[in-house]
Amino acid sequence: MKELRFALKKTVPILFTYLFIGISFGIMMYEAGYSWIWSFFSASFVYAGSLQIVMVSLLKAGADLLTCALTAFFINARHLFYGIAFIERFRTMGWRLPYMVFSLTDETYSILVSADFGEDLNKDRAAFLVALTDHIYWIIGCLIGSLAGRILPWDMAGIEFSAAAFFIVVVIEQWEKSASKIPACIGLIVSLLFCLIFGPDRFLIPSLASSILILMLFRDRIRSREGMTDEN
Amino acid sequence: MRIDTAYSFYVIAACAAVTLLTRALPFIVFSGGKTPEHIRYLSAVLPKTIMVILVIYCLRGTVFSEYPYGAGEIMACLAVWAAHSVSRNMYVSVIAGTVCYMLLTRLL
Repeated sequence: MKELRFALKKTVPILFTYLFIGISFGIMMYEAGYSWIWSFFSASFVYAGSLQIVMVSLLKAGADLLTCALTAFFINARHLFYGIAFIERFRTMGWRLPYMVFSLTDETYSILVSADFGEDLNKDRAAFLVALTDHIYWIIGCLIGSLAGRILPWDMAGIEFSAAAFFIVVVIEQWEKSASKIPACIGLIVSLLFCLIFGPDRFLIPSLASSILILMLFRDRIRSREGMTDEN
Repeated sequence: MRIDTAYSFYVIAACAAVTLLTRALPFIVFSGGKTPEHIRYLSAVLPKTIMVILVIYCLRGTVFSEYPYGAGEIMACLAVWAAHSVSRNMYVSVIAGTVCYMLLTRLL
């Protein structure tokens, strides 16, 4: 099956990241007294890396539900901006649509916006399998951490850089494919600036929100440079 | 440590529900009829901006104020770029950068 091969190939870089972060989460759950069943259900239904790690602290602290919900919202608010790229594209997804929306993590998002699907693939099926494969890696990582975290020879510190490395590669490839470099430059300037102003833990949402405004200001220039017509 | 089953269930359910909401909201808001023109425009260009922001987000823990002044992160990023220029292969680039980073954090 071509689509499955495509999905497995595209998601290899994510395998490292998800296994590593998943294992970290599983170990934290284990140490907080939760069995693998809890890790399994969190990985399956929450499916959000940084939130799940924070969630363990919330559980340990006995935080009230409103605090948990608000924390979850602020950590994941960046996802509000992801769906915009797929509103049109997911229209043909049919029964897969709810799952595609649910499973739109940073990593799946970046594969779907950057991968070249080619002509001979069923695009919808391939995209679905990319999302599903990432999800399975994540669940496996969380389970390994829960079940075997204690016996792993654990000095993998630094492997989390694989996420940054993956995003850098995506940026390089998008940079080369784009006629207009303005969108990438906006991202760099805005995020560095807001990181200085708001600090590393609070710059993400202001950066994403102001990027949209700045992209709208540059709309005519970017559109003409990219050769966009009113049809796209 | 004893865990409170009902409480834990509600916390995890709340996290799952809110996460799904953040992912689904754009689809709910723009579900009806023809997609507005500015959303079509943003769907084409916003990912290019977001990917750069995500790189900075991943590297947000970098410490520049004390030794080794972010050298590990900077050199590993350059390694990814160099590996990708040479290999044009995503796996090679990701692995080279990550191995480089893991070595540097131990050596520096």
